[in-house]
Amino acid sequence: MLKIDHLTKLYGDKKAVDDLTLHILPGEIYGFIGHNGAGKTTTLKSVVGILPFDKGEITIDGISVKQNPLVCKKLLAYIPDNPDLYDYMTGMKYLNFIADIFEIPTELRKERIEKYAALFELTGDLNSSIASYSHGMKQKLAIISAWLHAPRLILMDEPFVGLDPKASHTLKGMMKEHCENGGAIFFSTHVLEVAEKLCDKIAIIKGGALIKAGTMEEVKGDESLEAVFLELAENMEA
Amino acid sequence: MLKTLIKKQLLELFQNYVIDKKTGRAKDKKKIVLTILLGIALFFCLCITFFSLGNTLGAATLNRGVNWLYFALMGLLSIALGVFGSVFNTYASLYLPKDNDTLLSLPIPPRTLLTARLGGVYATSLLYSGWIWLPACVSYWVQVPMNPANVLFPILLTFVLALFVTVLSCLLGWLVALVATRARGKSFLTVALSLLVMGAYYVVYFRIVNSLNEILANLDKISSAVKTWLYYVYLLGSAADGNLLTMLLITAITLALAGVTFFILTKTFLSLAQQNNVSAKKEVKASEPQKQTPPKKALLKREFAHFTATPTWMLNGGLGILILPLIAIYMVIKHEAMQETLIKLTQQFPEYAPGFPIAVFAIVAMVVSLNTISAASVSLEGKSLWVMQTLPVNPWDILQAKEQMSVLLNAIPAALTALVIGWLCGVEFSALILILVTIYLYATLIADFGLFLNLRHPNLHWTNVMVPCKQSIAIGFSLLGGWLFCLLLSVGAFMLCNVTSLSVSLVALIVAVEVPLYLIRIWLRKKGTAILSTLS
Repeated sequence: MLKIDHLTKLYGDKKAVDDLTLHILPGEIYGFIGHNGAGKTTTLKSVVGILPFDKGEITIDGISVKQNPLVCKKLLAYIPDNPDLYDYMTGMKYLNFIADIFEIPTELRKERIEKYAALFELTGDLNSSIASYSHGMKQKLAIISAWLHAPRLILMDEPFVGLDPKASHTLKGMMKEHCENGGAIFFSTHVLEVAEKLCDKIAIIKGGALIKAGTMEEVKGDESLEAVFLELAENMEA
Repeated sequence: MLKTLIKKQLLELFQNYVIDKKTGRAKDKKKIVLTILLGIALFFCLCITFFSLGNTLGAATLNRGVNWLYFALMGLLSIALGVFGSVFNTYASLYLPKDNDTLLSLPIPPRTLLTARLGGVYATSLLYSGWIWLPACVSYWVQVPMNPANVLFPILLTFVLALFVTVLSCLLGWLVALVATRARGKSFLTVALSLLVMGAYYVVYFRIVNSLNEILANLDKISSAVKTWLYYVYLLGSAADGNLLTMLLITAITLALAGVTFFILTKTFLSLAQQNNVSAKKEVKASEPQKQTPPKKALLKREFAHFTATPTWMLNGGLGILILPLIAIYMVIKHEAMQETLIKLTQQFPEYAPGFPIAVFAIVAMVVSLNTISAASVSLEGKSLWVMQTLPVNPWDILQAKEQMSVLLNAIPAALTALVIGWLCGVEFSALILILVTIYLYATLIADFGLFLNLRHPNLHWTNVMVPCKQSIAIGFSLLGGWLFCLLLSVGAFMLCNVTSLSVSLVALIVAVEVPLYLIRIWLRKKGTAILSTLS
């Protein structure tokens, strides 16, 4: 579903992402782990089309992100690590705006908004201004808006930060359900325990370069993911 | 700590001079010097107007020995301009900065934070009040023999006057904050209150300027009125003329007023800053999703929602929208006097009479140029720009929504005002139609020019909404460029009218607006969309 081939992104002379290749198949939850500044967010932003990249190719369902950004954006949803939403709207107005952009019919948007708002216990707050939301509430709203148009691919940058335990549990359930229905999820996280339990495949990145990628068993074997991650990171430094 | 905070505050205020918006890094020294020199040149250009006003007023007052009255009247104007210039800034910069949460969470005493923010308000007050006061001083020194007291005191009073302006601005800003915490529809209320202040400014300013002859003919009456009703202003005038006692007195009074204001502000700062930073939660009630709207309409609705929720944007970018109908109403009230003037002008300059209808375009287009809505619209997306960038929306549609809002808000009142003025002046129907077409195109050009400038000079990382709305390069260039272009167009069309017919001149005017409009639209479609989709 998502093919990242030889992606290279430069910031001046510095390589933020260096010849990264990753393939994510339908039905997969793909975790992306690495240190701060390793290149995770840059990769995610390049896939979404926010950041132009210097070399390589990114395709979603065979469609090039560079050549057909709008078609690709219809297939995906993105949740950044710090979702700054429209403070001048209420939660409901924001969801309606997103639904309008994706041309979701009135009845269908009503059904989905009710469903996901209830799951995240946000129904009562949808009439409030987003400016009054806490970080976690904004995160929940961003998640609802991402699921609203039933995208094929969902990209998330640190999705569990700021969520309460119940909301985290709900999100994990939604992620699994999404992949069972043929969708795919590519997300970055620092919470290795979550990645270990949730992901089908995992990629470890350091200094912009891919250190290791594959199924959870291939990457960690019998060890814990934390131990493997630390060992790999140290080996790279050496 | 205070020094660091004040430095941060001043850097925010003057960041255009030292920070390169494209790279986010400090400009090199040459660029900084050049930008500062340009700023100073602009400041002095505008000072010339007030210098000539000082000469006129000085000729009447200084020759008659009422030197204090000269400074009193110029001081009054300085206070009016100072308050007008900084009051819009005060509410936003004291209570609403985006770094409120961060700074309030740090071990910074609220009064230190307030003092630093007041430093920013004081700098703005100094800039605006100095705009009139300094040329007034120079004009005074040219007209009277100089001595140490009448040179030193006016200079010192520049700072005292700015402090007084800060006091007035803060009290008004505090009132706005106080009302805003208790009211619904904050945005419109803030706009209404600010417009009230602005109205008061214009009443004072125009009364003084328009009644200059009357003032000069009734100096005695005015003198006694100022002494009775505006004793502070009398003290200001007397001190500036070199009176040590009144100098000490006015300094003491101003410091005392500043102290009281500071006391009031410190007592309420924390609660107002916390309350105003968060919109009041409305009553919890399950809401229904709205009916489906086409994406392009949804984008336009989003622009309007943003505009109407941002009072600073409405006030600074959309002032012309209010001025246009006011001009139309004024013209209706004064139509007899206007028609008489028109007849007189036609009799005096019959050779220029065919070009008079171009003045309808000139008046309306000048006010339309005040519209800087689009020049702030990209920067105002701020950190939430990622939402638009990740949605399946053509960047051109986003820019068009911004353009459409600006045109809709501007072109309709502009066209109505042009219709009223044209009808009252007896402009022929065919010429009026051409003028309306030109005005529509001009409103579109101003909107697109604003977008062009904002995409060339974007700033998504502001902490105070005043920065993208009032203190950006895009806003400055949009205003100046609009006025200059409007002036060139009007003079050009008027001159063309002397050698050809009015219709031909108006068609030429349409072409002269359409050509840059076409070129800017091409730029927006090609480069503007590319910039917007990767801006961060």
